[in-house]
Amino acid sequence: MVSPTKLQSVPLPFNKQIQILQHKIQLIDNDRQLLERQITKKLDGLKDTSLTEVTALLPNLVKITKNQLNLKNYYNMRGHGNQIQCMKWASDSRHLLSADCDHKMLYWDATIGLKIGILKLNSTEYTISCDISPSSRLIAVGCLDNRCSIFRLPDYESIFNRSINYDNHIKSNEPRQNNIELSTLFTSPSLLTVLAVQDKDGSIQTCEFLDDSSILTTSSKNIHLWDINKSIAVRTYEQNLSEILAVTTNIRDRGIRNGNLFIAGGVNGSIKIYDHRSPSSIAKLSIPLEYNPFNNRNIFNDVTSLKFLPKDNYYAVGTSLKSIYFYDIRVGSVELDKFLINSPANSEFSKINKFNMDISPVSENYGTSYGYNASPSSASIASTTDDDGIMDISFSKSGRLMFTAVDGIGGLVWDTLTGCIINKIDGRECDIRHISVSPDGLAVATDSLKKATVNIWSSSPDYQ
Amino acid sequence: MDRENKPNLQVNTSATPASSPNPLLQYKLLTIKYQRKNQKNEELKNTLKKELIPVSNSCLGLVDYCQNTTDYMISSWGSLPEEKNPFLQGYNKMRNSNGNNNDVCCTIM
Repeated sequence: MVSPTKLQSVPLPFNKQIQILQHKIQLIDNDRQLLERQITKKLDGLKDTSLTEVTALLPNLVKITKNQLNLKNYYNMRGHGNQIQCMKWASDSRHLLSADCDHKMLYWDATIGLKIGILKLNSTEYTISCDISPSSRLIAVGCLDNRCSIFRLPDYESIFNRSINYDNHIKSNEPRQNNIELSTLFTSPSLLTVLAVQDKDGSIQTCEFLDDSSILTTSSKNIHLWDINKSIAVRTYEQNLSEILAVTTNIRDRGIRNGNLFIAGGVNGSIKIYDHRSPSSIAKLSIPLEYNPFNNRNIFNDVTSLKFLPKDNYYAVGTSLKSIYFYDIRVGSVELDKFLINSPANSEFSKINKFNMDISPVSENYGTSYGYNASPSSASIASTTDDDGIMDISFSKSGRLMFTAVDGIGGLVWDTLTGCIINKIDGRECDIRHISVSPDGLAVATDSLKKATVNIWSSSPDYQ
Repeated sequence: MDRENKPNLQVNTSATPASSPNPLLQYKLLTIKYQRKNQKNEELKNTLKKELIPVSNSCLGLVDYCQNTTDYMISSWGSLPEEKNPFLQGYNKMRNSNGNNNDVCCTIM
């Protein structure tokens, strides 16, 4: 009996092997077509309704109007001289860290509206992102030079306790001996380590602490998972086809949640879901084609912001054409719903648009910054190239309210379940770029581009 | 039309691999193509195997969560008393201190 291995030990000439391969590839192509057909059939079966349709059928749903939104402007905290690049709440929901492009970071006590510390960074690089660790002991700063620096945050509590005696200052009329020395407010934080990527792939756009010993940094092409104690990148997730524009994580939402996922959204609508325990993405999807009125084409929109909802597995995607999609990880690539600013229900708010103006030389509106006499049909070149779309999304504690920072319109509060815009958070101003709800859901922090302030909003008992 | 005038585009298959690189290159390219296509098919099979829930179930879950979680930014949940709202406490403390406190905020020049 001839053993089968002996027959195959003679190597075939290349032309024969090429023919065999070509035949195999043909079979694979047939299989693939079959699989794709089965998948589309399955996905069509999943898409049986949308979020707004479901809520329209519910009779008991309380509608939220402007009067029911309990948000009062508590503080407009001044101190930054420049545009605020990044703003993060600490896990205790009382302190806030904000970074501006002047290599200066401010550590605020948001409950009293004052700054507790000023951190001057030694580097001269442009700061893009910052983050504060769950224990509030470490801060991370991501710069334009591909380096993420980790600093130890000064222990302001002990500095304060040494200098101030809270009970005494009200009762006695002593002269101010217990003043904090101004020099202790200005601190250069002690540098713990610098995490540098070897390839020059851009700036560190976001940093997210997973815990005190690991951090996730994103640049435009890669996501790195670092071990802070060893200062090495434990894992790198590469994004070869589309640049990353936004990242969100539910790994530790300031100590409240413990998930394992993070999502990266990029150019051309690509969304990839990763689990930090696995070396490659666990799911990929892309947002549907959208009609771009400026080009008269159906295009894939860029994903400009992403955020997980307080309920696990749900996330919202904001795009550069100002639409918001909702997804559920368990549903996969079928979106739950799509919200538009230009829908008929939101017409009151879509008219306030800084960019919908005609800037042809003969027009009288040339050079005005607030084009309230807007006509959506007169689209300008500026509105396609300068428009960042939805820049930031944040959710209230129950997820019912969605706060978005929209380029050219400002801060909007949406009702997540019906897709209606409830109110504009900042009145007539159009310059909110970051918006963030505190981890315990009691306050919202926004920034103001023109005035460079950090604004705190919270609920008030005597709200009518 | 004229079959003799057609250029001969076929690869010289009678040559041995060592002397002519074309079949080798073609073989390498085809193996890479085969591997990539195989991988893609595996991914498609995995997506087909995944247990996915329909949109209606997911929406109902979200509605349920939104309606049953207390959220003090919506006035139908009531208002937060002062003891529980640190922002209100801080605001009242600042308002009532009348300048006799050391919580002076410095202005950065």
